[in-house]
Amino acid sequence: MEPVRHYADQEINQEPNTGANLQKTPKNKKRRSWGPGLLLLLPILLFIFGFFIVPMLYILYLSFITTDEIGGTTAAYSLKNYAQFFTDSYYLSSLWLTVKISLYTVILSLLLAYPVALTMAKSSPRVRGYIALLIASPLLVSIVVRNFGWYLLLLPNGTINQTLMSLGIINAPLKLLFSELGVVIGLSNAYLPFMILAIATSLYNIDPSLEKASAILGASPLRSFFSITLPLSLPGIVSGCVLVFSLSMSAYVTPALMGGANVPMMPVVAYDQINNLLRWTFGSAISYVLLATTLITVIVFTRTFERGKFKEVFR
Amino acid sequence: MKKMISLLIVLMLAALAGCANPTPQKPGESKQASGSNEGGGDKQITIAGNGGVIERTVRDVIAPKFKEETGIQVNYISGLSGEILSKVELQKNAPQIDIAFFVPVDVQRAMDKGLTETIDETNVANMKKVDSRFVAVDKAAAPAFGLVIAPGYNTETFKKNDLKPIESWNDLISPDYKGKTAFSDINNDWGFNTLNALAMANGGSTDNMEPGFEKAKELAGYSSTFYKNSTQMMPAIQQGAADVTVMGSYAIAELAASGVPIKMAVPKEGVPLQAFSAALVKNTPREQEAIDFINYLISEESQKLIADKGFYPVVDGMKIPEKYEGSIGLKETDKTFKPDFAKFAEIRAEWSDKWSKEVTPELGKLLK
Repeated sequence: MEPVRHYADQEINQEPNTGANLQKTPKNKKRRSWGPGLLLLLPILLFIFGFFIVPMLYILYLSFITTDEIGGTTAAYSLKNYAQFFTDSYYLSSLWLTVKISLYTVILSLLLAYPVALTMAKSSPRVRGYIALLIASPLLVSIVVRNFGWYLLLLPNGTINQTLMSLGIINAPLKLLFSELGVVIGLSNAYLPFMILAIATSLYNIDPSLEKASAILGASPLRSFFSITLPLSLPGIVSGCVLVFSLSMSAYVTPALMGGANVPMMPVVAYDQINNLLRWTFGSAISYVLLATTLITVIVFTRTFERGKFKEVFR
Repeated sequence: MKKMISLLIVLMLAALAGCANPTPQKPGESKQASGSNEGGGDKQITIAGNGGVIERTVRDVIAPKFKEETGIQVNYISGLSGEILSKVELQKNAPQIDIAFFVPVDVQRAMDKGLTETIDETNVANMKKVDSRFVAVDKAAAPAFGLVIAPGYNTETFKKNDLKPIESWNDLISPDYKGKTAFSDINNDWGFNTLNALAMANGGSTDNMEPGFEKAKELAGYSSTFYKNSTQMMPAIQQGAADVTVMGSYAIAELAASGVPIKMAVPKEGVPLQAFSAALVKNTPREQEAIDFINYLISEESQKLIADKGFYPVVDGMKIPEKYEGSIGLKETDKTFKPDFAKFAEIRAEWSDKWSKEVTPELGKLLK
């Protein structure tokens, strides 16, 4: 027999059940559940409005201006900045380069992160804590400092090339810096913790008895992994991929330091337009194209998984 | 619920309204509005300028002495010249920055946009002692940190590999360096001056950059990259990843002082003489304090301290300390020139676009 549940609002509402108050009840219930929640959300909503939505709206407004005058009555509005972007192969190739490097970063991060997350999930809580601390520790160091560290390692006469050459693995230094490879290495290093923690969280939630049942039924560990663990960890994988992809698409420091002029990713191009050439309006349009591309890619990617073969695990 | 939504909409509109251009603040309003002179009468000014050696010189050396003499506290915000110009433009109706240190091209751009006040002998007395070769744009700013943008090379590597000395800007284009070069991208002042100098060395000029542009493609071919961030170029030289560079003389001096075997070369076509200049931001409520600081900055006393950090003193007749003669000393016979900064400001965006599309893709193509 189902236990009788008493809701707070039912206890308060002691009036006889007339037709009129039966109609009122759902409305009152809704009002009472929204009010306190909204009050709790108010600080963060205000914060997001003030420091995210308002500046973004201002940048959107700038992106439609086509004169040097970025405000006031002399401003002229048109889609010229967007037209310039989509008709110039340089900017289109920069967009493609940004998407491509972000995808490579996601793939590399995923390959590196999954085994670590799996190890964490299988470890005791104490070991798991140590691993989590180890993973999160790079986040305590400024990204600029981390990139300078990578920069020194990846130089033609840096530690990595020197080691490989002294071991006789290569004859001449590899071009690790100022290349797409260097940027992918730098971005993966920066965003790997996000991927690991997202997957690990998903793996923690898998019921261990499922794997035991699978073994009892005669499945090999590999079969158990591909039939149970991997599908059930898909929500974590998707979250990790979305996080790393979005962060890579908007990264500025790593592409600028590790890619130099050779890897003109969109944030670097937008920065140049705004800060060096003082083209605020065109730089704003570039920023919005980047934002739109990121959003569309993320939505399509997420929806594909949520509605695909494994849609049950996303419920 | 409706009330909450209404409240949020009102707050959002209020926030949007706050994004509009602020009301201009008049110089006379400083005491009430700036907050700088509140409680106890401490006067303050805010300077925005380059980080690194300029910041250290102002923060550690000039500002304390200035405070001792005038009681005015100096706050320093570091950033690149272009970034500072963007900030000054955004704050133009309610400036938070009183003095901006700009590279010459940004002095011109700031003046063109009406963001700076006039600086001349009438309001800054020490301007009459300034060597006019350092003045980027007449009456627009006070030159403060003198420099040339010039090639620099690792003396030991050149000696060891028996490399030909750099006598022309065209000598920067050479397979002998094996890609061990550190040149700045066009977005940086060092990069744009390199393009201008290459134009001059090949029969062109600031009005006709095409010959330099063609040479720049070759320069790119023999370079592994152009640095987006000039602060990376000094570590590249220090780590031995680059033996040849083009940078400000003060950076070469700093590297040499840190023990790197580097020396500046003065090509026969000459090197551009210029200065980081102090511009007085328009509508600053702390105008008089800012003028006092600029006047102090270009005094003989301050220039002696600035020269000690590797900059050429901008006061007529003063020289750099002997310790820098070996690395960045200019001889009587060395040719210097003053670029046409007004033209620089006019053409920079156009050539930067062209550079990104035609020169950058050539990077490393001639390296084996």
